[in-house]
Amino acid sequence: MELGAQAYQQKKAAVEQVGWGRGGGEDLSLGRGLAHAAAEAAAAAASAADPRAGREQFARQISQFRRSLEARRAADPGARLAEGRREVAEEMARQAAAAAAAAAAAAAAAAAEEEEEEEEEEETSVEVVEIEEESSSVEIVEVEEESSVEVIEREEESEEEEGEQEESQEEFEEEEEEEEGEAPAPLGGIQLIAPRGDWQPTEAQLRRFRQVTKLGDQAEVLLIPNKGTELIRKHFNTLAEKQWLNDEIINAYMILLQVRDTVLREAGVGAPRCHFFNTFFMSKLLQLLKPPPKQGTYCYAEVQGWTKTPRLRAAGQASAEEGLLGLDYIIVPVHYQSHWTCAVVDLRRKAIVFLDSLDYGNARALMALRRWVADEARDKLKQKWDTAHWRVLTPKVKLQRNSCDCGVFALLFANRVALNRGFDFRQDDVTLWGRVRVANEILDQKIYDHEVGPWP
Amino acid sequence: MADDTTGETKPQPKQEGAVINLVVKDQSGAEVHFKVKTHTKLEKVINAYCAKKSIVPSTVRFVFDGTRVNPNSSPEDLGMDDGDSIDVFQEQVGGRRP
Repeated sequence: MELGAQAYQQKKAAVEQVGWGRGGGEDLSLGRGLAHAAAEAAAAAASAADPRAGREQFARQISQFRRSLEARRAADPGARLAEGRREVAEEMARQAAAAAAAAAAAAAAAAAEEEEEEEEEEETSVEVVEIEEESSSVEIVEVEEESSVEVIEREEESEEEEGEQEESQEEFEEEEEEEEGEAPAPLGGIQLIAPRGDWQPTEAQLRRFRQVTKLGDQAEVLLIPNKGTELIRKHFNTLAEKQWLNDEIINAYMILLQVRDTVLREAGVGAPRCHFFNTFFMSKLLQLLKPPPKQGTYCYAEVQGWTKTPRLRAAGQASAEEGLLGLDYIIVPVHYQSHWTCAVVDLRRKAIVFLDSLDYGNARALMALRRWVADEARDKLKQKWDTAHWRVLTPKVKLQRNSCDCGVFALLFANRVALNRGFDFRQDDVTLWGRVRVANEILDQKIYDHEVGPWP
Repeated sequence: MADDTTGETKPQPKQEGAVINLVVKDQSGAEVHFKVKTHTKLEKVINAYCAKKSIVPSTVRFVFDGTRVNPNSSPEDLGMDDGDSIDVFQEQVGGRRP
């Protein structure tokens, strides 16, 4: 009886996980986590039948499955990445599906056990273990094969989606043509999309990336940076494919960009002089985290102290004594409703530029920045700047084709703007390679690119 | 608010063992007051705050006028004055708008 009740509970949990697994197929951003959860549930369900054999069996299968994925990746990374976002997504889905199938098999086994257990007790439990070992391992293989066939089919089917992509690609191209004739104003509305660069990481970088993004002890300290606070596995895990970046990663990267800014200034290569705020700046300026009615309302006093010399020095600003308004760009990572974007104050051309990989827009943040420039001038320079006439620009940089990579896009936007370079990456480069790059740059504590672009 | 002169260019360090008041504010406006010596590591403040609020330190960020508070630094290192406040931010994650 006791065993029956336990098996029932496990089955229930497994069934729930299967349901999530299915959801994972639809919402691919959760694929990775769900696959893991489903696998765990499967193992748990199996262990209800026979604690040790069941768990070992499923652990074997999952690791086998992972190995085969890794092997496929290693064998042909170029082709795989060329396939792009969909391929990766499908891989995730497949993983989730396999795990879910395993959970289902385990649940079935548990259910069978539960039913039979009412009649006979000891003998059946042995029998169930045998059935489970054979049938479920076969099933996993089947699922994998089936779904890889499915991938091919789906690729053909998904012409619709591809058509959409092409359309938006055309949009870019159209814009390029449109804008080419205009006066050079780098962030002032000309197209920012540059030819694709080389984003392929080295084997070593990829290995390192896998190491820090794999699941494990979340509190494990992986990096104690020269500046800023220590970074633990939990933070690096947000860089794993399909995961949402957290503020620690964004801020760690902003610190590195500020360091590069100092290096570039010393090198005297004519790079724009920049300041990089952290993710809390906009939250504070707009009091986003305060309860209503203050929430979302502009308040300069909240950040008045942020730009005083000692604070700018602490932020790594090379010309802290001069304040910020003599610089070329002030770059502000913006977090709003689970979406990362990058806002730029273009001080030379008197514009606020919003770089949004999904093109949702955030007028409030842009208006706030414009107002902040005026308040900052009044407070620090004792000058009256009429910023009401500054342009607010939202160039079309809608490069993101999924629902998880906006953080990476925001970082790469900031990276390229600070070099006066166009955006030489596409979704396919960002899906994995962009993440590998960012993780390695943080681990190495330096930004790899120093070459300044062609903009005036 | 900190004066420009209170940064690294401070003429002489504050008296050894001088005590200042610090206010830790979360974004809902709740405040917790601490009395600390200027050379005490702020780790103590962070831990005491997290214990009082029953929160895991890795889920919140302590920020003083834009500067992330490193647990190993002291109020003196950060140029904090009596009555200064530290903001507590919740972790932010993002992938897209929901």
